[in-house]
Amino acid sequence: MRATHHTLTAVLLILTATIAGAWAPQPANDSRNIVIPQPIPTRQVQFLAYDILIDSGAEPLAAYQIELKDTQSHARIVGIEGGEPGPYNEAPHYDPKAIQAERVIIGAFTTANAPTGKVRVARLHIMAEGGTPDFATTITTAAPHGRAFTATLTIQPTSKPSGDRQ
Amino acid sequence: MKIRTHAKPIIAAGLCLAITATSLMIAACDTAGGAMVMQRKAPASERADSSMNAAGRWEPATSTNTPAPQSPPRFAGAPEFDLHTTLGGRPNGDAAPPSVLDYPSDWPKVTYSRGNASPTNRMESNALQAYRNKRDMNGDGDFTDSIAIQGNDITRADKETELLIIERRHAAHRAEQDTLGCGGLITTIDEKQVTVPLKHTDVKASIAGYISAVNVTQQFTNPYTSKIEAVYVFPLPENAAISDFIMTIGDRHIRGIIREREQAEQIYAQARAQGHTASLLTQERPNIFTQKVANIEPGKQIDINITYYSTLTYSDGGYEFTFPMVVGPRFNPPGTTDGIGAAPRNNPAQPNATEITYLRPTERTGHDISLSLDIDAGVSMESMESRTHKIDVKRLGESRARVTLSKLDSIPNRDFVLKWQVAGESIKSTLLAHTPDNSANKGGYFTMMLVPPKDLKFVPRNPVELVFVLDRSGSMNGIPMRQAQAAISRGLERLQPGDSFQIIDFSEDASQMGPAPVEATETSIAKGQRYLATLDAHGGTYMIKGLRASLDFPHDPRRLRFVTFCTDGFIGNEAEILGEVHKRLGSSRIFSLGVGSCNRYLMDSMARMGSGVATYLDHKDSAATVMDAFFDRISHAPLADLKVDWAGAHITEVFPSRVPDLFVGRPVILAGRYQGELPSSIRVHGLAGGDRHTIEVRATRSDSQLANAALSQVWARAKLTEIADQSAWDTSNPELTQTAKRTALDYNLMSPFTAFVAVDTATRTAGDYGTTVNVPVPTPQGTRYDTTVEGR
Repeated sequence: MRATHHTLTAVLLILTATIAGAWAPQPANDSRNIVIPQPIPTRQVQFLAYDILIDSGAEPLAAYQIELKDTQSHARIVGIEGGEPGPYNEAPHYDPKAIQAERVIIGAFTTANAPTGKVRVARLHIMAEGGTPDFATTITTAAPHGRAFTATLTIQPTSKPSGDRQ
Repeated sequence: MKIRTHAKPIIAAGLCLAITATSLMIAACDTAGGAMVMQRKAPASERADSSMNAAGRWEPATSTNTPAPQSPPRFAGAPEFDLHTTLGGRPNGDAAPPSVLDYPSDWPKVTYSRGNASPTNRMESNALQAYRNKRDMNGDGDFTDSIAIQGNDITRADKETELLIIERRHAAHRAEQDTLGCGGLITTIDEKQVTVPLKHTDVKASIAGYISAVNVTQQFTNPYTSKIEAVYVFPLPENAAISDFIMTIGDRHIRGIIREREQAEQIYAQARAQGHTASLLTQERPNIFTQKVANIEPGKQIDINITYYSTLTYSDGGYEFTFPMVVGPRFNPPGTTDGIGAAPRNNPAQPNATEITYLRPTERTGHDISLSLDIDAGVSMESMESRTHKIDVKRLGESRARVTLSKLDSIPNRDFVLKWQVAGESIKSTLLAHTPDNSANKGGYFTMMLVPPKDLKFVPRNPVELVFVLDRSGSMNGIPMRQAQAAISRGLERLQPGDSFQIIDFSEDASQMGPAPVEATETSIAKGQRYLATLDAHGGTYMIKGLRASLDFPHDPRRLRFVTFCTDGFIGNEAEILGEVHKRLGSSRIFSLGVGSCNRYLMDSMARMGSGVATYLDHKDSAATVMDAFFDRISHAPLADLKVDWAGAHITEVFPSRVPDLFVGRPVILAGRYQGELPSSIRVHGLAGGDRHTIEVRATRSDSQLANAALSQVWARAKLTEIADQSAWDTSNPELTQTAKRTALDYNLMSPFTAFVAVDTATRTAGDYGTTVNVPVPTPQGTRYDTTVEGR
């Protein structure tokens, strides 16, 4: 278990360094990114939530790092929520320098019970003004022992929960 | 959905029992030659349901297992009178004190026993004074007439004052409301439970050496029938590097985003207006923050979790962990534009930037606090104590312990202070370094604790000129004033031939014992003691007048001047004061003595800018002991003009940029950045008493996860402190603001220019944002409501 932890930490370090060295958002070579826009009227201020989902297929998702930015500059980040109950439920940390440019860089890892299939790893809360955000994204994922693999990233509007009053 | 429950009624009842049993000296009366004699009351279990019989004797409870009494003791045949005792404080004492002979003939007779009649007799008869006052205690138009008899507790070294209070109430009006109060030392009647949206605060701290990581969770609820916005003004340590903020709704955790303050406020306002649950954390002072939580629906709970790092204070062989729990009521001189207001609960807002509402003395909220610390001192711990709170200590080894705040002491009405002594000689100067994993240039951060060399104790001092500056404003009335007077009195006793002194006091105006420093002789010291004894506390806190009077005071260049401010620091114009310190300091050194749950930001800043040291005097501390420690400190020349030899290492941005002088028993902590490798040893040179001294500092890489996470934040916080100090006098330098803002944003830190905001955009609540509810807080224990919140 300890060795696994160290390996994953090393993977994260590599991922961090990789992202730090490539600030501009660009799609990863080995990942598919799907962004579903949420149209809003021009000039209107709206608060929107986007689910961030990773489909790792049969691979256990031991670590991930995601970068996304609204290319239309309509979005301001107002909160980053954790994912669905499970290893990615805690709210991920963000890069404070990137967030000043409304660029979100988040990552997390787990040393046990790495999930497979499609999992919501985070939720992004934004305030959009003047138009619809259009996210450019980057994703890097790793299985236990640091082996990188291809995964699909989906950014989609959060469906209204049953408790929503409006 | 997690359901959290808290057994507050049980805790509150337990607290009442504990206070009743251990803290209160409830007067019992016995007939002795027709007069009643004060006696120490029996334990709570024996007093339950006690009552006085026709002969004026308190009878024990009929059952020893009954709960605490539901009302204060009453006089037989005169049920409208209640009897209370407490340590300290003149009750409502703005009336001229009548002599004991003026005691009204139609009130129950109470006298103190004289001489050595009883070992439980705690009063010194010749110190008796009586005070009478009539006041609307509850603000409801119903008056309470009270008489207090004051005497000194001769069983305590500091002769703590004890009061016996007799109150005549309008019994018919309040009969249904009478409950036994438990809001600190004073037993009150007619305590009202005030509903507030802040249910509980939980504090969890981890300590590694001299670095702490503290997690504070505030549980907001909506106990009302409609939607609310909760606003809570609360304190945190002045050196806290607040770097994480999470809003929890059920099992959802939303991490807040650091933003420029104006941006964050706009986002919060928009979210609130659109019905989203949102939270905003802003900084009003380095030690005062405002938490807003919008759109809390009835019955719902929102938790706010704040994490901060800080360094601990070390002095005289021990570390100190402090957690402030309440902000004292501030006085804002006319013209203050950025004040911290103090207003009675439910009263219209005052024209201040930040407003704190206070509970009346007879009111209590259900808000309570729990606190636990996991300590890894790194060296063997010898003793541990909290003089402010009851604690449970579990030792987990020589250097480790777990400390928990007793559930019987969960009212957040005073600062929590925990001290632990470490094994002698075990604290050495050290440099602790860490290179972050993602560091692009292999640079890192460090903290360096400089411990004064041992031989500093053998350097004699030169004659000193001591200027005692005593705050005698209304907030000092009662226990704080007596503690400050006792401390200064001890200071006068410790003066040596060749020293000189002066006493300056201020409230609305500044006055002083004489026009110039006087030689410390038996006669002059006696005069000083008499002058000190005449001072009474009332009125506003015009500290600027006391500051100018003391720093502009004629100075004898043959002596080192130490200016000692004895104050609670409850003012809202700190920036003006600190600017004035910079302007007028000259060759003086400032040693601030903070009394009670005081404004530590002001105390620390004044001492830092004044090249001195801040010391704190809690209400339960011995003023003599604290002043003796102060004299020990100034009785030896400090190690000054410190220069660090970095041995060729690439060191940048060390804060504070001017290394503070080292006084006996008080190490200082520096924070800095480095690139490349650090040498294994660093030398620091300084001068004391004309001799050169050198401190060897061993550099180590941190292997503590806590310290690794903290070092960069502690460094950034130290940089913000340096900028804030400079901003106090360099007021027209926009670069300072920009640098502070950039630093705070880069390091995810709270500052005057940044704020955390979190919005739950996934759900919207119905209707508008509802009613704003300010969370009222109690005045700090020992601070009087009537001379502060009400009297200003």
